Amino acid sequence: MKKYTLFFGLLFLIYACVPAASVRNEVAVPVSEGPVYEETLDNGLKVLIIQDASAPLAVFQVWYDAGSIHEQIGKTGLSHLLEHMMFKGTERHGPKTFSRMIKRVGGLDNAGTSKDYVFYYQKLAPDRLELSIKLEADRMQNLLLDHDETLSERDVVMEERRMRYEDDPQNLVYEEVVSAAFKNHPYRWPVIGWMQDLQNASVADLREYYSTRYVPNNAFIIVAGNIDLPAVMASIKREFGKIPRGPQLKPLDVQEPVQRGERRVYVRKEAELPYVLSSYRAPNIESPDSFALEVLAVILSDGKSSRIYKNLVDGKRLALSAGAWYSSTFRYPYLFSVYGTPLPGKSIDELEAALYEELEALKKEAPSEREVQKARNQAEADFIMGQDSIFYQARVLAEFELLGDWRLKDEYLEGIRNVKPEDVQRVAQKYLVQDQRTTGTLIPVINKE
Amino acid sequence: MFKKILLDNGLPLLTESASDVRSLCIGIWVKVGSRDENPEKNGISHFLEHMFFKGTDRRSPQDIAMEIDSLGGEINAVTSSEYTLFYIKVLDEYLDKALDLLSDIFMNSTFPEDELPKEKGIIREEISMVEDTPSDYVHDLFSKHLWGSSGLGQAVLGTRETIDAFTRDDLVDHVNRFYGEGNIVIGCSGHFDEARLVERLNATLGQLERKSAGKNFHPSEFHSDVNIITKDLSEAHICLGLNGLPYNTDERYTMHLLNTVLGSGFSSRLFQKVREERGLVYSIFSYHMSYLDAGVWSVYAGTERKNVSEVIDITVNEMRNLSSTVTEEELVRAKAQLKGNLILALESTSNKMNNIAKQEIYYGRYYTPEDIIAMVEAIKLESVKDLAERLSSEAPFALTIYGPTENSDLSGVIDTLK
Repeated sequence: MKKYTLFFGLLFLIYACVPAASVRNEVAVPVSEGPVYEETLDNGLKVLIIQDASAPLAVFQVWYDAGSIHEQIGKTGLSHLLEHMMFKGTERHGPKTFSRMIKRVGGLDNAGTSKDYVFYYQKLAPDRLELSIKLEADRMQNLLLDHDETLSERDVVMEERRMRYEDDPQNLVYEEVVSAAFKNHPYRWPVIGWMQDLQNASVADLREYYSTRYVPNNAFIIVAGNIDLPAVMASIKREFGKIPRGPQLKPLDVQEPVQRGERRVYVRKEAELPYVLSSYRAPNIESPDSFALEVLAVILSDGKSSRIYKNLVDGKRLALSAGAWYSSTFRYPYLFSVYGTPLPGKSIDELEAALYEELEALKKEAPSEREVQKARNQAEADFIMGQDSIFYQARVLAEFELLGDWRLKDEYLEGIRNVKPEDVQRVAQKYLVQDQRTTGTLIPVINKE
Repeated sequence: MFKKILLDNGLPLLTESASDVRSLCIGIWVKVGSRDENPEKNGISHFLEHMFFKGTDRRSPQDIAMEIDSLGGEINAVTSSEYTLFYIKVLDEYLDKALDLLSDIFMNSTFPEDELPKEKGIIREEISMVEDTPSDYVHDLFSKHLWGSSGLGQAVLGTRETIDAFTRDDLVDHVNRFYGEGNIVIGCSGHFDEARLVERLNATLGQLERKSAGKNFHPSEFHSDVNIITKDLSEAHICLGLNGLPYNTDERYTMHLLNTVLGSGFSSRLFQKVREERGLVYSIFSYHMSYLDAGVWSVYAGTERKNVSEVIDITVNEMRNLSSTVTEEELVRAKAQLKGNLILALESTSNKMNNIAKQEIYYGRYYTPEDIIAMVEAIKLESVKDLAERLSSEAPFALTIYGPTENSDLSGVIDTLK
């Protein structure tokens, strides 16, 4: 699975696999065999537990179907701002105490917001899990959302936007391309929100968003590590079981209109180097074509034997860096992208044309079985080595759960293993076509100083 | 389970095995980095590190790329101011193949002449990329201002001018001088068969016979200057620092605790006062950076122009008064946090490999997590106060700002830095 930039609220930017959210099937199904225990409480809160006796610590994660796709025009950035506010206290545990209490028992906590979801986590000693359970249950229903705290946190998020976007030209291009590629789907606005919307965000907006989406039937919990399963389940039931079920939320149902030709956007900004990003509309894991698209992205861009590196970075010496990016685990169809920064002396147009040539070559002739085998091995090793820690085991499980069922995680590997050379050629012909793409170019502006 | 094993030629191999993962990570560490370079050869360690992937007697660069990608693994290298690391991470079933590839690159690279111009271009662009990321670039500028233009102050990447001048002879000379047995440490962690690992290593790196010349060690000298580099950005990036402690000191965990109280994590003083109470920044944190013979205790913050002097003022005040204000409760919390982080940091195969090898390089011995926890537990509030008193109550600050700021913005705070 390819990496993408998830939006990490409080501390840092993390690279992660992408998911989406839907909380289905609310029948209790304890899985007695196999490594994952599954149970749904009466209020609709699902709990998944991975027991690993060799792990030195435990991980507790709460996932909400409350990513930026659920925001409205003029109110973008609320999901991420609310994630920040979740650390600002409840009636029982005053402002700013959450992280302090976790730290005091030697734990670590953070949260992340993406287009598709929000999640909160703690890593701590297994015998301290009780603290996570109590604190998370408390802030699922009793968040303060104080007026002054909200204003101060809004300033923090605006500062974050300045740092991550206004001062990062390539991120600005990404933001522009995505917002041009989608006309209707809420994927089109950035997770951090537009600056103008952040300025207008109010406590009332946050409160409404919180009260509708932070409910047990719109969330699930994952616990992993060396834990006492019956004790942990009993504790979760005691703390979360009493939280009332919220109103049933309608799943997002937005169709993107047909694209009838290439779209182009330009960003003029002070920068050392130009940059081009070209994104094609592409399906997610619900389409069997997604596996071949994953393999296609690896063939183009994973490692130094990949085509784009071998031909454009190393061979023709056109690009300083270039690659392709795709992730099948977005909840709704998203994008397949190619991008690059030209070497000085080479033009951005020349690089863009060379990127398209690589795509055309794959459409014209299927890759060899050996090249596809190499790509399947890479995708498989990435997936397995990416789960070396229980934190990522829990996270991958959650991401597939958000796509409909955590068991899909096994189908992912199976799907990758079955990709044939002609599948790669076929999906290239089907999706990587000019009329379906949006291209963004960064034009560096020289500062007069 | 930690082990130190000596290969046939005496090279130290540090291992830590784990049964619950499916990967392994092997690293070859060479104790040379940018601080060991002559100023006119600044960047040679990093340049050399790149050239190691350009072919061996047996493998072309394309073969290397194809082999590692076919295993689905990762092979790469890292250069810092004091060491160069070559590592490979693969699924456990590929131990033999991984070792064969890594040791071939390390021992038999040919550094072909015609690859030099290409690689120079790549590094010049790496420099441009850093310059395009202000929150990274400010740290480079700060380091140069702190330590001067030789030794520790030299950038790992070098400069465009030094890079242009490198020749193949420079590379060979650097290997001959620094890549000898006395300068090499090997680390391995993850899921592997120890006997097999030692056997394969003895057949390759265990055969290496190369003496290293002595290093031309540039002792470091801390400069506490104020440097403002005005640039039209939407945020000003601030680095503020005090003279700190070297790696191998008895006070290293006292230093960690002091830094934790000041600016590490959400419950730290700086995070609470500057971000949570006043909303002046998104990012503010402090860190202590240690080297063989020196250290710097720094704070980074990014903020709008109008807030620059307020952010500096609060930070300086906090640091100046730390010795008289730090409490027992903060110490208890910092200890818990530090102990937790220790265990959390050892989660991945590559982190474990880094940990055991770095301990060998900097301490010449291994401390178990239990040893470290005992050392942390033993630290008293008085020692923390004493260290704060020595480091921050009167010492002069170094300050570097990169962004939309001018001298006049600092008129109110400049005197407090001295």
